[in-house]
Amino acid sequence: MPKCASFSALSLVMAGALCVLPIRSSLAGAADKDFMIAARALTFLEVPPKGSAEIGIIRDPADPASVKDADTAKTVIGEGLSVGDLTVRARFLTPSEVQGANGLAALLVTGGTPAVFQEVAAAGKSRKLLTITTDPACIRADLCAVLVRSEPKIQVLANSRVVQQDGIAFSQTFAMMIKEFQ
Amino acid sequence: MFGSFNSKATKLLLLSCTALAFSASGAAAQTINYGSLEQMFGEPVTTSATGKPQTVSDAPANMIIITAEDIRRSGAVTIADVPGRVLQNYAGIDVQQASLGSANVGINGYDQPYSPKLLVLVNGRQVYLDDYGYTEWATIPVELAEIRQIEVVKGPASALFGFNAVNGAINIVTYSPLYDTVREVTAAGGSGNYAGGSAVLTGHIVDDVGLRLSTGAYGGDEFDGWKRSGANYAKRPDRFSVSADSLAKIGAHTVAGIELTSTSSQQTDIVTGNGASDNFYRTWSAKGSLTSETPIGVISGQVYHNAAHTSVDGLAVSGGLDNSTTVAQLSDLLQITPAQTVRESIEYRHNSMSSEQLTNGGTTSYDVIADSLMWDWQILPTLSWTNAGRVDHLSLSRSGATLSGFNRDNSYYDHSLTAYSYNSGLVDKVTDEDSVRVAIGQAIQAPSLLDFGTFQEAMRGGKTYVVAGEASLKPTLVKKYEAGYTRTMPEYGVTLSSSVYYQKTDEMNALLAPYALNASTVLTTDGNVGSSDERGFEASVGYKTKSGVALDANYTLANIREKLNGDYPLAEEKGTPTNKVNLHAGYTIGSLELDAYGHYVSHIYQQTINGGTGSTQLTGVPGYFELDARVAYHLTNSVTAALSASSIDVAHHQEDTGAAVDHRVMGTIGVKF
Repeated sequence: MPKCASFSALSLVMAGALCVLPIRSSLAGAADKDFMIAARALTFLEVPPKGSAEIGIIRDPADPASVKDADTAKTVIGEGLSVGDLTVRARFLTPSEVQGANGLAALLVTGGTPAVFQEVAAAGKSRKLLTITTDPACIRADLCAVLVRSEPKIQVLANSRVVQQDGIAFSQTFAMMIKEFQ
Repeated sequence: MFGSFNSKATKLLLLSCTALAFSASGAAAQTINYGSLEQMFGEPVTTSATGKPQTVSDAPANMIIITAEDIRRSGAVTIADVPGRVLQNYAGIDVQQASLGSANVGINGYDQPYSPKLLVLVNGRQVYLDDYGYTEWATIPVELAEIRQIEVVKGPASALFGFNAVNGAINIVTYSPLYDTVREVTAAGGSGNYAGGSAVLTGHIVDDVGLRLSTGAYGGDEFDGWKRSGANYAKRPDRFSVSADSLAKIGAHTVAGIELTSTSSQQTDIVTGNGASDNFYRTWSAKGSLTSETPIGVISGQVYHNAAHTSVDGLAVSGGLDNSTTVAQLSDLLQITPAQTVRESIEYRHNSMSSEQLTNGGTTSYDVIADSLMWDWQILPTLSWTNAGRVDHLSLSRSGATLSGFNRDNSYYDHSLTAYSYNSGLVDKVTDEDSVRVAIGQAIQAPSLLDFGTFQEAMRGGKTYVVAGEASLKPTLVKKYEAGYTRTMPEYGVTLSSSVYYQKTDEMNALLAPYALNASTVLTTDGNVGSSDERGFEASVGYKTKSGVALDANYTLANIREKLNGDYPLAEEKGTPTNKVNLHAGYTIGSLELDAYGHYVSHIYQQTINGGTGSTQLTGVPGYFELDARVAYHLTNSVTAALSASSIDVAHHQEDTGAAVDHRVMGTIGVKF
């Protein structure tokens, strides 16, 4: 169930509608395209990173699905993924390393336990990092800012409460194209 | 969304106070990084449906985005080929071509010579000519290599685009000098002694200043049918165009732009009444734009001036028309909540035309002030509702000499009108694969400057016929109700779409019966003569495989009934083909591209003028089937050779009451560097 406390009536309707959306389970393995979308999202920040940027990819050794997804992400991004003028690089982080990691432009979490999402959320909030997920549970729990999906069609859903609390701002053009999660 | 202003009330107050304006696909649209957004969302992005950027699948309008690849594979070589080789491939679009470089385009019927119901723009700047109220495609200062996409909005859209987006609007979006790189030279030659070429070059003068330059020219023999017609036609139609467009980033959030264009062209036009005319056009334009992302939204402004000189030599008409249009637009596009976006806009337009004919430079002009508001509400992640409304106030005036003996002085033209237009559209993405769209819209077709009263004369039967217009003409109103359904099945590469609509047109304008002003002069004025109803259906299916096969088919059914107040020779009812079918088969194998296009258009009737008596009549045009084809081979990554042919099934076919369209073959070499 989504966290519904203090939502407006509209938010409730929207959250309810999202609950019935056929959302792919993260355990099914994130598609390569998901990571491409996540990398491209960086270029639509209001103040986008220039030159090169690093995405922290959560790789939980205790979770085989997380390991698989993170390895896939690393494969996609490789030694550096060119997105427009930006080169995006990947850095693996275990959940315990998230809080101490510096120099990142975003965090990407493909799945995991609520505790892992909490670590990501805390880092996003304290360091004003964009938190991206392919797991609806993270954004539904108000812990991740953006959910990306590539199948059956590309969707970018945002949790505006998390976006706001993390101090993230997208270019207005891009913001108008994102579907609001809540 | 996510801006620094947290209070909705503050945002709304600021928005209202600024009362800024927006013309849907104006300056803001030009500064959008279309390529980056398209890569992000996996499908073309447009601003033409609502004014805000959105993917085409989210658009609450019946619209098509024709991509650069679609254009390239169509076999079109210049912008003048776009109606017959590109637009004609799609459901709901009517094209009548009768000469090299000139064609009339209509959406959902009502196509006719000097078709006045379709607004055409380039990056939000109108290229529609206000004199007769139509688009002369050869005068559009764009080369095909610089077109990113052509956006076609089918249905009334004047709440968004203003006057004359009556049955639809076409916005040609070019590659951005700031974000895109295009360097291409093309040479073309073919039957009919055709020769032409174009060059497009983009580059950065400094890091944050981009420039796009383009030029193109062609010349060729007119279709054979004209030689046998005895009409006054352009023996060797030609076109020359040059354009410069520059965008500069000013800080992180502001982009400024300057665009200059010039064209000249000569071609055989089918003029109102289906006579032929050897017309020469010279146009130029200048545009300045500024777009900035601010805490109170994306504020965009643009000012442009279009000038067009038309020399008419046909129907015994001889003389020129000078038309100039100055437009200033200002807008604010603001996301007031994560789910709601509003856009407020104002526009000022000054439009004037002078005639070199019997009134020796008499000038008719009008000023328009318009205000519009758009509200887009993402009710649910799968459900959106968009509403737009616009009010236009037009003030007409006239100066200079008037027609001797005609009981109207210039004060007769001190006239004004206020007109309202609106659009409302609901899109429900029922599933990931299925979406349903319901829309209603009302648009305004303002009388052209000629309709209002810029006198033009013609000699027939030894008498001077004067088209005098009517200052008190009411604008034509078009209201459309539409429901559409789209299903995409990406796993099979299949897309299906269909729509059904009812359209009502009121206050149709037409030339009234001529009367003798004196022994040597016959006068014709304009009037509002009645209404028409249209019922239509269109369906399209597309199939594309990763192995390079592409198949497309579409069908359009249109049925129009006129209800006129008298015996006027309008041809709206019979001038629209009842049935149209378009087919396309494409195949890509390695460096080879093969495409074939078939068109079936059922018979129509058109209003023609008896050259001897000046009376009008309906003349039939038989239905036809046309087959076009293109084969291209990429010799290297940067060099492509192509051969295309039109009407390869028959030597000639006739699309209107003008001459038949010739079979033509064209070869091109394109080099990217």
